[in-house]
Amino acid sequence: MNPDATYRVETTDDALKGVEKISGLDLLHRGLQLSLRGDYDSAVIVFERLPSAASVSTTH
Amino acid sequence: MQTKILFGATARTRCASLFPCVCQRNQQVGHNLRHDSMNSSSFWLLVFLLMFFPPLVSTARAADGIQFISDKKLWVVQAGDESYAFGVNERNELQSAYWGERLRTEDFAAVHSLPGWSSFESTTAATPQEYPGWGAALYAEPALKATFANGNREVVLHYVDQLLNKDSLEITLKDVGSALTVLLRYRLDAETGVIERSARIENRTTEPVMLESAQSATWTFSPGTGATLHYLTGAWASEWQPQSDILPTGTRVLESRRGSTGAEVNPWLAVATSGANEEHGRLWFGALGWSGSWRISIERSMTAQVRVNGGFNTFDFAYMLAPGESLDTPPFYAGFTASGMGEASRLMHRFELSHILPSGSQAKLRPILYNSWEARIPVEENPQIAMAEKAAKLGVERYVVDAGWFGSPGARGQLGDWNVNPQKFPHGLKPLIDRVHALGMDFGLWVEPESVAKNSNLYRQHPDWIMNFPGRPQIEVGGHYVLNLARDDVKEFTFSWLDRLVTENDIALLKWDYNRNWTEPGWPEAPLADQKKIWVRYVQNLYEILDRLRTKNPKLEIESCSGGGARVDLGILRRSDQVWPSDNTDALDRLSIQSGFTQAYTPHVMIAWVTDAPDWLHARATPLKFRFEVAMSGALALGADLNKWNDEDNALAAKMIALYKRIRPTVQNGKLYRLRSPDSDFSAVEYVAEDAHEPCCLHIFTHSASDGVFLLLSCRV
Repeated sequence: MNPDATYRVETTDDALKGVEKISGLDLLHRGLQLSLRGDYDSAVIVFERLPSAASVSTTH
Repeated sequence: MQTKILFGATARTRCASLFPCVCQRNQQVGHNLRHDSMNSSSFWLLVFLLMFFPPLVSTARAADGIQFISDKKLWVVQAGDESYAFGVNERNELQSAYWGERLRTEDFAAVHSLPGWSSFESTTAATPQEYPGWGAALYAEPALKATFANGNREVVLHYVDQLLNKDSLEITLKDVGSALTVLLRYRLDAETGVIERSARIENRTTEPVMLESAQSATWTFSPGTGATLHYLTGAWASEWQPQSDILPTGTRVLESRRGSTGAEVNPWLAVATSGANEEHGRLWFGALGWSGSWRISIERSMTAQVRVNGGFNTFDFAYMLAPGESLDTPPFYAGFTASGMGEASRLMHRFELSHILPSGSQAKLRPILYNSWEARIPVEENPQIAMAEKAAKLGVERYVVDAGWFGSPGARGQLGDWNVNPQKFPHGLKPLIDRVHALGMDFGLWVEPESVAKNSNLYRQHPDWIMNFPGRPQIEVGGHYVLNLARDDVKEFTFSWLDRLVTENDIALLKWDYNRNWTEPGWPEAPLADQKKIWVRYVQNLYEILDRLRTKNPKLEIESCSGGGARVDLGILRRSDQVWPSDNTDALDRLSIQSGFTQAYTPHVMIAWVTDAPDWLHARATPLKFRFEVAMSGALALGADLNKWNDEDNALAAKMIALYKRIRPTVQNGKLYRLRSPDSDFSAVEYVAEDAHEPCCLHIFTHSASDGVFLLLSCRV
């Protein structure tokens, strides 16, 4: 496990707007909150690991 | 940079059946794990990523491959965490020894026949053979059964010699009483541990030999008590339904007698130890590479030993081998994992991508196609050009014209008359194809080469070309019959018109449909002793046509379609770049169809259309975004009537298509993790990019709460 890695997060779900990057540590201990509402709601979440030098700026 | 994509979807609770007459109600269920929670308006999805575990590869053990230990007369197949072993026993039979978790090569002992259960029980019944002939007190399913010209009906196969390379092995077996010979073939994919087995049966005698059963392989293993058989069943519009039964003592048979693969049962199976699940447990899994009638028997003995036998269906099977002739069985692929059903699927996916698909590891990503079949756009030049222009604006990369382009003016369904209908396309297909190319797309065309309609010129000219029993009624199904592709003249005719069609038009894809199960499988023109060869020759000739078409037209791609998903197997996939899983395109049903499909087959080949809502089957209305994201879990395609889409729909479609193009390599070629089954209130799958330099781990835990679901997810590679 690498809690020091940083991930760029992109989702088609509106609830994650504002979250662009997140650290592995944050994901490990806090995670991402998604809000799917009603029947037939859905989301695609894309995680891209950023180079290790990238700064961590969690915004949610 | 490594890309991982997580798909999440909420769903209504569904009835067990996909058919609308059965599904009377849509229960309003929220997204909680708890089924009694009806009022949840949202749920929380907590994603925890645990990444970058060191690779779980030991460097201390022996190299992967097939090794022969001469002093023990033993072959040991080592690959990853799996070992497979067999040897020559004191009776000179080829005896199965072990299949399961990896053992040290030096730990294997020479094989010795097993004693019978009692003084009146032969050891033959108790001793597992790698390829048993019927004879010598064998009561289990034989791999080979034959009748000789002198009336003898027994085959007892003994070891003769071997030809071994690192990853492939050919063992020669010979009948003790004749020169009937079996070349038993093994090929190992060391990366996945999948073993390909097949047999060539050679008549080296001086008289004909009638084969009554010719199987590809017998696999023996010991899953213990409480083992579960997993398999895939279905029907039209409800294919790919996972089934699991406790494996009973005795014999269980999975088969198709339809002349083709069939949707009722797919030639894939897994046997799991008690308690195994998606993430954990030992599984033996396998699939046949045959698109004709097939049979897999699963025998569980009183000692919980399991023998799986598979190959040509033995029903109505009779294959006469003249002196010097031989018969090659289909390949039977199988593997083992101790890491659950999910890993079994991922191993198969990787194997298919590397060794089955026509381009192998170079398999091209599936382009996003449009097909107007379900939208019912008139199959005529101008409406199709207009639709192609709309599709191109959204980012579609391939335009496919479905059924209706062929035949005579005013005629419908003239299967067999594969000329361009001059009323619908007065200038041929060229203006449409040119426009499609000018729009930056390539062009695909639907064909159904194996069927012939009663109202066709082909049927009038060659009524003897259809399968038939002379003097007996011929069943007309859907207005057409099956051409007897076992005949070489029919084979050549079929190849010729297809080759001409592809050559004269710039066709990138043939959507090869097949909508007819066999009836009256007669071949009266063949000698009586050879007439039942139709079950084998038909499929061999089908494969030959596809192989020759691809060789002569290297850029040509094939989509296998058959009344929905009734011809998907590792034989047709060797010649197909993509497959049509089901005519059911309702996005909710597709979640379970796609989940079942990916048990056995890679999402790379799984064409998934975004179609109109309400859908034609259930009249169920699902949001366009939901339909897109379900289809983006496979090879995304469009089948909706784009004339009905407004600016908002078009904008969403363009956005989703652009996103899919970014994640397509991961979805189509990555590792698939089924995080949550569609059987529950919501489902989730994850795709992890293949990247040897960035291994990671994934784990999943679910927690329920009063107002939502808490998921703990972690990624692994």
